[in-house]
Order: sequence, then structure tokens, then C-alpha cells
Amino acid sequence: MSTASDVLAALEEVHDPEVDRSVTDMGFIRSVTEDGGAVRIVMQLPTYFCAPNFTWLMVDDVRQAAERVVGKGAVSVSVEDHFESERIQSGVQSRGGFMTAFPSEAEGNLEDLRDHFRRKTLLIRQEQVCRQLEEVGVDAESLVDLVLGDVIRLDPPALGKYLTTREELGVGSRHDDPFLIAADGRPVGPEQVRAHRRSARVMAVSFEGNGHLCKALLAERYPAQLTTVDEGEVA
Amino acid sequence: MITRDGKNYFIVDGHIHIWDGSDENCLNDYGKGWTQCFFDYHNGLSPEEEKWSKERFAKIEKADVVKDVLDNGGVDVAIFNPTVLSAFYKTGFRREKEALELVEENPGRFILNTSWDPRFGEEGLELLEKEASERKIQGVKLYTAEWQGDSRGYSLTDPMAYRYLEKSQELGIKNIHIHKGPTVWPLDRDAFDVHDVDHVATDFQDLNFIVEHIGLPRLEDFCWIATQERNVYAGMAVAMPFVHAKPRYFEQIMGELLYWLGEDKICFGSDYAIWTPRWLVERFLDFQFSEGSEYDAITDDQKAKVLGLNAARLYDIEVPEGVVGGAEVDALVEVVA
Repeated sequence: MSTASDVLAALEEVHDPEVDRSVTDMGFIRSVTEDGGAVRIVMQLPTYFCAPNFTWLMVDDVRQAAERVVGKGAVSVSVEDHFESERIQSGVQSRGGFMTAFPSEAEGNLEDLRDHFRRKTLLIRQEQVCRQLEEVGVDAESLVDLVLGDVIRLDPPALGKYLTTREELGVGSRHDDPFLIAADGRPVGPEQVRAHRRSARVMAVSFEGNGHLCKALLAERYPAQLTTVDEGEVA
Repeated sequence: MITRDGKNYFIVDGHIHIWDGSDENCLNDYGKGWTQCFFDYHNGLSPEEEKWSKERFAKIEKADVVKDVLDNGGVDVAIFNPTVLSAFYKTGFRREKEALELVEENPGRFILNTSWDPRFGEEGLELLEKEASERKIQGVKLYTAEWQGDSRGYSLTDPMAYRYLEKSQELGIKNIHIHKGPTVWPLDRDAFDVHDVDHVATDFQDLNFIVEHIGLPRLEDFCWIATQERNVYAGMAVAMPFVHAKPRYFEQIMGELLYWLGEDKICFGSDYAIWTPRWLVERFLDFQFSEGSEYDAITDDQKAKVLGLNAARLYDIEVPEGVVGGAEVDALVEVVA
């Protein structure tokens, strides 16, 4: 494995918060180039107007994921054809934070936004696990009685990502913690299960729709533009 | 009117445009970016045989609208929802003069909604009043994300927006179409957030709030609000072409909308000229949930409501006899009256 390939592999863990799919899977990484230890990443997005706040989150996450591979300061990330390309690129690069880059438009940092969408992701992933549990014979009514340990024993395919999100949010990831929880971490009672799961389902439909639209628009904007990995001169 | 299997369907296209997005009309790169984005939507979700050249797409003429929407489109009544974008285009994106002419030249076939913007303050209120005194206005298209000077958008809960909603109610402008879209303000929050609709829908019970594009990319928040508020509706523009591009996904959209909102609160819209209505309507008439789907089968009556009867109710459009579901609407109007 080369450095650029390692970086690209690391970017598979960076997710678009509105879609809950990785930026590599979405086709947002146009190229990763390594030259003399410096890594340059070029991103491409579905529209000229993609929301700068979500764009910032992704660009910053991409930078951090790449830096975990090659070290701090060795990474630059740019966004092609975006109306705020410059401010986002230089802002993320200088680590000045979102408020510094957009002083007149932003009122705070982006952590609330990130948290809000991560909680939506939690519910979507939880619902995936619910469905997979039902497929292996778990009764829908008994979902509220399960603790995490029960689910870990059954090991449904979506479990890993779900547990990661629970840990990130700090909403309880011990074996004796309840499995079915609301966005704020509180357990879901038997009388709330139906509404809770219907909400999670429409959330999943919404995220999936965002993904379809993004992919359709990106394919028009950058036809047949596959991610390129360029190792540059091998020292 | 579109006939399928011997049944007539009354069609109201709740969302059309006549625009000039040509390079000559662009003020800046934002305008060019906007037109290109619309064109990418067109190409990204249209069947091959329905795709246009960029040149044809960029500027829409009156004759195009008549041909594509009425003559070939089979649409009985179409509603213009203007997108002004005066910060991006020299004469704005929408062609107001041409839209007005189409209304006059084709009696009963077109409805022209207006637009307002609370950032125009008292002066804008007076203009709205003047416009309403000159012609009958039934609806307004709001673009809460539109740029205006240094401002990158507003919220419906802003005090001045309340004044405009009060004025709309007073003037009998009862259909408020809302588009949530790109903005960089306020950046650290979610600009697509539809919760401001929740507040105003509660406070303005005599107004109808039609959330365009079914609230995407925040369908889940929109569905929740629409369940709470009886006067919130779904505009299907942009969601419709999924019937072709992602049919299995379209099933989920329709299933969720029917579950959350019910068949009386979903309104067809082509978003012409991004897409033309004919193929959207025909494919929707062909549409059915697949075998083993968790959703109940959709009926002809439900399709008729989505395709025209619901919007006819909102806009007091007379529905002719002999169409699917027509009699029921008549009865409903009597009850309401």
C-alpha cells in the first residue's frame, strides 16, 4: 500500500452527515495526490450551492482523517466549483474555525449541527438493526425489553456502525444498557415504539432521497469522473 | 385531462415556471451556477427521450409552455410559482410579463402566483396590496433562502414575515408555497430546516402551507409537521421524477406520504421546465406498489386526488363532471361552503 491509497482508504470512514454514506462512496473525492510527503485531496460536490456548513464539516473531517495517516500539516483539501471554495479551503487549512471564516454569517460553531445529524443517524442505524433482528425471528414487541448485550449476542450486520454511533454520542454502550433508545438516549417505552420506529423509517427515506439526488446531480456535473490516486514521484 | 383505461383524470400542475436562465441574463456566476444546477436536475432524473439541449432549457418561451404543459402535457390548469432571484439574473429568473400574458391568453388554464419578501419591509407590503388590487392573487411562492444584499435568507417566524402573512390572509392570498433551498445564512444552523413552517401554520389557520419538494432534504421533519398541522400540504415537484429514475425509492416516498399526510394533502407538480408533465403523469398512473410491499395498494381515486383534485380544492378550481373522483370533491366543497 502506498500513502495516497492509505489516505483514500481512511476517507472511507468520513461520512456525509445528510446521507450517512462515506464521501468516497458518494463520489465526493475527485483525487488524492501524494508528492514528496505532502498529500493533496480534491473534492467535488453535486452542486455549486451545496450548503457551506455541511461542506465545511466534510472538508474538515477529510483533512483530519488524512492527517491521521500522514501527520499534521501535510494535507491540503480543496473543493472544486463551489461558490465558497476559497473561504472553506483556507478556513479549514488554517484551522481558524468556522466562525473565523464566516464572521458575519455564522453565530456559533458547527458542533450542534453535527450532533443533531449524528442523532438522526443513530435512529436510522438503530432501525436497521431492528429490522435485521426481526428477520432472525426477534418479536417486534420484545424489542423494548432487549439490552445491548442481547443484540450483541445476535450480532446483526448493521450492529458495528450502530455501536460506533452510540459510543460517539455517549448515549450508553454497556451490555446492560437498553437497546431501543430515543435521539436523546432515553429508553423507548412500549407505547412509544410504533411512533418511534415510523419516525426512524421516514428519516431513513429522507436520507436515502438526499443520497439519490446527490448522486444523480454529481453524475451530471462530473460524468465518468472516477477517483484518481496519484502517487507522484516515489522517493 | 388525461385518459387512462377509459377513465378521465383532471390534472392540475401545481408547480411550473417560465424562466430566462440564459447566459445573457446572468448577472454573475451564481446565476450560471443556478441554471446549471437546474439543468443537472433535468438530465439526472429524466428518461433519455425527454432530455433537452442546454440551449432549449436555458430560456423558456410562451409557446413552449403552451405546447409542453397544455397541448402535449394534458394539464387542465397549471400554477406558476415564480422564482425571482434578482441577485443572480438581470431581469430575474422568472419571466413575469410572459407569465401574465399566458394567463390572459389562455383563460382558466393558468394561475400566476406572486412572491413577497419580508426584507422589502413596508414598501413591499404596499406593493403586494397594489398587485392584489390589480389582479386576483390566490397564492404566493416564498423562497426563504433567497439572497438579498448582505442577507442570505430569512425565517418565516421573523416579525416582518408575520406582517406579510397577515397581509396575505387579509388579501385572500391563502396558498403559501414554500421552498427550502441553498443558503449560507445562518451558516451554523440547518438552512433546510422546515420548523418555521410549523409555527406559522399554527398561527395562520386560514392559510394553506404547501411545502415544495416534500420538504427534501428534510422529509422526516416535514412529515412530522404535516401530521401535526391540518393546513400543511406536500408539493410533489422534484419528488415526481423518481417514479422513473428510482421506482423502488418512489414507492417509499409515496408510502410514507400517504401514511403521514394522507391522500388529501399531496399535490402533483412537474416543476416544468425542469421536467415536462406528460410523462410524469403517465408514469404515475402506471405506478403501483410492488408485490409484497408493506404499503397498501394505491387506488385510482387516490391518484386522481394527487394529480388534480387536491390542488383544485386549494385553488377553488371547478372540476368537470366525468372525471375520477370528481363527484366527491363537489360534495366536499358543499360541506365546506
